[in-house]
Amino acid sequence: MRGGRRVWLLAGGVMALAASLGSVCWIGLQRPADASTVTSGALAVVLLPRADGSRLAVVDLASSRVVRRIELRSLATDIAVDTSSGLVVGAQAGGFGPAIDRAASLTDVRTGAVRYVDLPVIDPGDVACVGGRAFLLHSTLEASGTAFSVADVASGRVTGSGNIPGPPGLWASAAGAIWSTGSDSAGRPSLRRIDSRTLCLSTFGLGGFLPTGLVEAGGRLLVLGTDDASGQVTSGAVVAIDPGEGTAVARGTVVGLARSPQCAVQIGGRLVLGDWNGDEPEGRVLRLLDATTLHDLGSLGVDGIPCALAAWGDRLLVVDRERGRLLVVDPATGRTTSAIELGERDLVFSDVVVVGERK
Amino acid sequence: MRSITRAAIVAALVSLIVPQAAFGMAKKPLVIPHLDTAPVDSLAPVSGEGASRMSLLTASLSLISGGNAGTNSIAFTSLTDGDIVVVTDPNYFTGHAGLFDRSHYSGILSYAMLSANVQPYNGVQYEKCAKYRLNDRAYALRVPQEYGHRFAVRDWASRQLGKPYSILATKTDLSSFYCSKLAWAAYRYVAGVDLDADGGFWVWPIDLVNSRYTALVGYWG
Repeated sequence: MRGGRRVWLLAGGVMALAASLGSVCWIGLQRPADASTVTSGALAVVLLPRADGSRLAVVDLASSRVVRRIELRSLATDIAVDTSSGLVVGAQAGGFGPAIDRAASLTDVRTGAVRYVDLPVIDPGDVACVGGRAFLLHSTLEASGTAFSVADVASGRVTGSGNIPGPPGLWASAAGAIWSTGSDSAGRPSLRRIDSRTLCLSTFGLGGFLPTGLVEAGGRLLVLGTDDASGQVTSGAVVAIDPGEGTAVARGTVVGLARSPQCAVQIGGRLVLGDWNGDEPEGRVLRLLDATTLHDLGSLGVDGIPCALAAWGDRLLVVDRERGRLLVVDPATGRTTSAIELGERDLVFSDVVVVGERK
Repeated sequence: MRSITRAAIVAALVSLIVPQAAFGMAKKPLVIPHLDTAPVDSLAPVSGEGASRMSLLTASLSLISGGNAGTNSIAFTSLTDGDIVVVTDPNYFTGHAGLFDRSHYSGILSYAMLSANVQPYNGVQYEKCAKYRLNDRAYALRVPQEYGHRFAVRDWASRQLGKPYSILATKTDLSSFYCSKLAWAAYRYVAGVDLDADGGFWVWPIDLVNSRYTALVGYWG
């Protein structure tokens, strides 16, 4: 009997071992096939828009490889990073009619997990993040103006909403606030600041300056645009704004681009500007400015059509719309150090953000 | 199985009602026949007597419509205020229509298309132009004889911003709109021209393409 008990104990142990091994295997099978390739290093997240559900291509910048593709439930027209959680927030605008959406997607690009926050109104077109909260601009107009929603990223709950006068304009976060563009009652361009805590609105006049881009660079708000109301743009301009007073503190002229600047990113002491807005002709040139003085430093040729920019340490990340690639560029030399295929070409538009910093 | 059934229904209806040859033409087709059923935007809540107007076919079309994955390269720089853009897709049976507001255009990511979407309240809105590139086909239309009214047409449409969406109200009821009705009503009440090619209760987006008053600025597909 004692020998029989040993046999039973041995058999039980073998079964327990097999069961534990089985559970490990099962857990392994449940993990995404590409999970092991997602490192703890910096990741670039590129928006690939599709009307039936946009994709996020996650690029491991250390190995220059796409390590994950995440399918979203509807068309996302903009993405932003919540730096406090590392989550990527998407403005899930959706398509037309029954395909329209009313959500913010919250994506952990390291695990591939996506949550959706249902918003009070439809068609969130732009998103910006401040202090753990996502601010989404809707294209929907209410009695007191264009609607925006506020969602707490950690809890995934809508915590506020508000309106800005007039139709939707540009939308960005800078210096701890949300900024938008619009027109005053006389139709002149204006800049609006939304306090991220109180949601109170301040409005500043822009004179005759027509804004075509709003970006945060080096902790400052930069308004990109042109003084030329005729539409015959021969040069653009960059204006650095005092976030408290809403007044211009520095100004630079942008030459050598086909149209007024639309996007910008600061890398070290350089400001890199692009003019892609989806219209023909699409340029292959970016412009460099001194980030402090806004003086022109020359141009930077790109091996592709640059439609979205981001900074990764001292490197410039460029989405090549035409060939669907993420280019890693040394802005000091203009040399492309890496070109990563994203799997889709002829992108209608794109966006790129970086999760984690370059070591 | 459900998707296969949906695809089969779409294919059957499209082949029955919309001649394929009508699409893919570089010039404006003279007539794209269709049944005068409601645009697919009709998933908005319905109630009251208006609900009885919704036909079974309309409800069916609502159910089989869905997202699409196509693209086009519509050149918004070729458009002027008051131009109409109609987009269609095999999976988006009735398509969508919007009115261009050049004063708000600064690229395809700007909000410069006036239209109405499924939302019981605040249905009339500005839309991002980029969305119109995410369909297989795009028609840009102009009303040449009313070119002088283009700013007034645009301003009339923008004054409807925030009005509710309804697919069940009559065309002449200006308290609510759906996408193609907004463009139709802007020309009807500013310039006195009826862009509905075949009349009927609803004005489809494709009715605007078929109208003898609209000229093709461009076709992308």
